[in-house]
Amino acid sequence: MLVLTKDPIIITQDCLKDYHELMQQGFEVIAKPDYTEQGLAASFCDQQGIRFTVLEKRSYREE
Amino acid sequence: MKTIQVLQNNNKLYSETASDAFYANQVSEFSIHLVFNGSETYQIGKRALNVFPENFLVLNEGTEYSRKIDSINPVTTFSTYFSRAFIEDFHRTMSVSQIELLDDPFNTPDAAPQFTECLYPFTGDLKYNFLHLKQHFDERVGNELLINEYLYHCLLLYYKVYKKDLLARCNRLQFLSPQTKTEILRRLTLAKDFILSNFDKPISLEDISKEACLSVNHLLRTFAQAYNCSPHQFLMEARLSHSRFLLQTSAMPVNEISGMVGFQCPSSYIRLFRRTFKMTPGSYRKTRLKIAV
Repeated sequence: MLVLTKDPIIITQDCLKDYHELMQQGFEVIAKPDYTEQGLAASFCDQQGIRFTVLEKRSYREE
Repeated sequence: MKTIQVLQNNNKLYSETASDAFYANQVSEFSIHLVFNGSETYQIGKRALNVFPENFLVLNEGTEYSRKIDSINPVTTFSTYFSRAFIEDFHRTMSVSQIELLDDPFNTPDAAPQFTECLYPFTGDLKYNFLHLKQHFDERVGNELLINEYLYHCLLLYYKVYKKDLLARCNRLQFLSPQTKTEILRRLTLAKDFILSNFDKPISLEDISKEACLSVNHLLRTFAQAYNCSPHQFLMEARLSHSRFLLQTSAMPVNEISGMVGFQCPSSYIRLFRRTFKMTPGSYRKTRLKIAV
């Protein structure tokens, strides 16, 4: 399971969609989309070497 | 209205909105079937399974079935069909070691993987992924890589549900023989699906027992081992769960919802709802509306 680190987190509505778009834009994938306790997340590194995580927050509480 | 999208790898997405539809003599590919409101009936041999929005149905390749929508209000369904090559490759990736995958990347098995054809809970990440997939499908997103990534993730999560919902339950059964465990679980699955398909009708323990081919006492004992509750409690949970869906998504009066989910008397529904969720159905609806706003 992907563990969220201290890297900056960008909140998204659709992690898989952003994952594809960022890949196409040339961002390096550090961790493929994976399920965390907070939701679906993927990690990237930009051309300056700055790492960040894209997180789609999900609620697992029964509603 | 029907919409279909066939991908280059022969995976297919299909959605339909209809009040009255019947399709006889269908032959399935490995597929996952959902409804977003109302229900759709699948007839597989003698089994009639009603798919409600809280569950999804899985059919194996080669299964013969018919399906029917018969509703006053239009019902929206969504099905994903996986090509044999896609499902075989996925299954192999999940079940074979990395070394074997590297040594023999294009090996194809003789037979397609088979899963238990039954109703599974439509919750958690699987629900999120399918809702996104449906949205991309509705918006006619042409990016097949993205659609296939979603299909891959839906399968990945289905495998997790399969292990949790079936294999873990099988292990909980207190029988020594693996064959006995498997057979008992198969019959309990018939019982569980019968409850999930007919919770909106007055059903008795004898009806469930007959459907599962288990005596009433045998059913009570083994059901509790597998599901940690009695068939009656499971039935009440299914009724309450669908009532919450109707409270959130419709303006129907509470009394009407009570009848629609199978309660004979609104006061016993409200009492059970309050005891379970620590609030009345009316309060629940108000809190949901506040969240939606």
